[in-house]
Amino acid sequence: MSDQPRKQCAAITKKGTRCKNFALPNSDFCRLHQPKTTEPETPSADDLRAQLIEELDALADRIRAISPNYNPPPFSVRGAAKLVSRTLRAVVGKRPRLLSRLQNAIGSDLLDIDTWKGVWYMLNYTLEYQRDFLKRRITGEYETDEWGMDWEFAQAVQPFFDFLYKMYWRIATDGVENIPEDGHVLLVGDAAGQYPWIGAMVATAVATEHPAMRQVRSLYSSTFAGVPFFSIIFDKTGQAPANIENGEKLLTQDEVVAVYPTASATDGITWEDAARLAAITGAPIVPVAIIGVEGTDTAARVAAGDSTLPPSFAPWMSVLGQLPIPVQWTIAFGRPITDFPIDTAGSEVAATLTLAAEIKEAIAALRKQHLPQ
Amino acid sequence: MTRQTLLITDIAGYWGEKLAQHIPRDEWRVVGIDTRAPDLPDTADTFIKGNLSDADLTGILRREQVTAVCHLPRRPDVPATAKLLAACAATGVEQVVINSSTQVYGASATAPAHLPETYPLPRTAADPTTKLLRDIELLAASYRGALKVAILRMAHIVGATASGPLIALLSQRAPVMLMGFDPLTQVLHEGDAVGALAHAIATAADDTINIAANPPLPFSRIVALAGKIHLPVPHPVAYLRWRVETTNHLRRRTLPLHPDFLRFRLVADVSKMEDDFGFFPARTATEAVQSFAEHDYFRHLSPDQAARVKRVKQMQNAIAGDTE
Repeated sequence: MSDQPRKQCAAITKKGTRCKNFALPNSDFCRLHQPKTTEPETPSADDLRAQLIEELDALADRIRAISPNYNPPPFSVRGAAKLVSRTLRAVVGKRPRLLSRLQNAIGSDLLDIDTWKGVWYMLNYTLEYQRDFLKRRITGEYETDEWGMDWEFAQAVQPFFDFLYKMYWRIATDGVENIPEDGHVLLVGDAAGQYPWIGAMVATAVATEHPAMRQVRSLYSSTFAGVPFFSIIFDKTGQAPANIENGEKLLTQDEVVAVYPTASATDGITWEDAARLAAITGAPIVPVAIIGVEGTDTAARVAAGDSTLPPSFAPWMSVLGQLPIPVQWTIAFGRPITDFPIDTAGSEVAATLTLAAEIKEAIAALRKQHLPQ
Repeated sequence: MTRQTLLITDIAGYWGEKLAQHIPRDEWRVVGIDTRAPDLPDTADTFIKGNLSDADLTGILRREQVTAVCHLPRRPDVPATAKLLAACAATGVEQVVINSSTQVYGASATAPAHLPETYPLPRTAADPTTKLLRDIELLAASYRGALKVAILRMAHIVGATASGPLIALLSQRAPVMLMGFDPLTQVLHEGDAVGALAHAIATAADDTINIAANPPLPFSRIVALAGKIHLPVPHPVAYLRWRVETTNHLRRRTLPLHPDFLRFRLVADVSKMEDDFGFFPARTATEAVQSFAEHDYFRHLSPDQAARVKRVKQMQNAIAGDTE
């Protein structure tokens, strides 16, 4: 308790008399008559509530003025909560999930400096590998085999074919284990007009699904040899032009050779050529049926008046019409044909024709077996 | 030991001189015939100035007692070759060696990837060189039986000193390639070409043999090994350009080779060369092109610059050798 005597407030009241209250310590005035400061007064909660109600009333009056016939639904707490929740979802959307995902992703690993050192190392290594790859291409310091196959190029384009195989066409493969694990093999398939894609997908199927992951050498039609860029891609991925001599040489080298017989001998290999090839080399024949690939030929479907195609594949869009549609395929490999018929009269032509017919029958049976019911 | 006599036609030409220097003189006496004398005086033991078309070949062959003839014309000449072969058959010459080229097969989309010697030659060809070579080979093969005829189908020649269509193409600042095409191509080093000719004479070969270095290379790789960056040209433009150049006999040619050889692969099967003929090129295809590249690099330098670069390379090799 202070020893100093309390002094009287020096303020004058409204009546004109001196204020009878005691002054605050270190001041000449009492609490009521303390001089006002320049800082703004913080509004109280009641003031704020009153201000909000006033603004909402003004907003309601404006709405009534604009739409006098509008009658809002009766108020309820539940309704209000639903409205707020719906509004928040529309405005904020997936951000909360995205935010939570980000928060989960930023784990302790990303805060570790060694993680970033590892990322830096991998980035540098990848860049250096790509730079070295390009440099060797420019200076010619890379290897190709006697057929022109460039392994590095083949590996570089393989992810694209894997994408087509697994994602675009979602190809189902059956019977790939019928291909022997080593030695020469002749795959004979029906191409149905989509040869480049079929050849690539059959090769991808064998490289991906076969236990030995064998490399398939397809014999491509001579038509493609004269088309820019096609022959480069075919040669560098290990394919060879379609003729008996190439097939025989490849089979002699114990390769897996795929042929897609045509009706015309000038275009490639006929069914009889395929049979003769197998008979000359003694290679087992694995019939290959490709089911569902006809649906990829947009040009053919448009020409046939297919109404299921989207309007973007109209006939006049001839370039886009050549792009294959992502329908689902099945590639079926049949049992190897190893017993080659020998005509008792000694006619090689008759034996060849018989074998060619047998191959066609085997493929037809495979197609029938795998057609959707 | 009695030496046999070898007649070399066009001996003052590049191949004639090289072969004459390569032939063992203790086994062979070299007689040369050409319109001008060789640069080196000891190239031939006997030099006869004359033209194959005009010279008395029968008399020359009898007088010199020629046992083998190596026909190395600067340009394929069917009438001169026919006269020579007839003279050889009439005078009892034992063997004729003809220098041909794998261009005789022509390049096409339907040909096998590895052309054997038995592959039928094309009846028609857009390239006049292919036609001439085919006619000469058919002519020469018709004399088999009367005498031994060795036809060596050589791949494109590359090297430091030789000339040829592929060398002419690679010597350009930006060799032309057809856009979208990169055919497999074979090459042969100039030294191995001479070696093959000498081997055919030494073994008295009587067959048609493909001569090429392994492995066949993509054309883009050949250009890259030559130290050049190719100029891609759309193939219709290339065919048109070739037609213009040949029709007008232009001296400066951007396409010394028919565009077919830049579009389709031309790979000859060399298994007979290795198994039957017993000849193995000393240089691989890569080494052959690199030998051209080294010479081509120096070709653009002045003598002082070339000497300086060579000294630096020698020092680098010495340091690398010490480091190892």
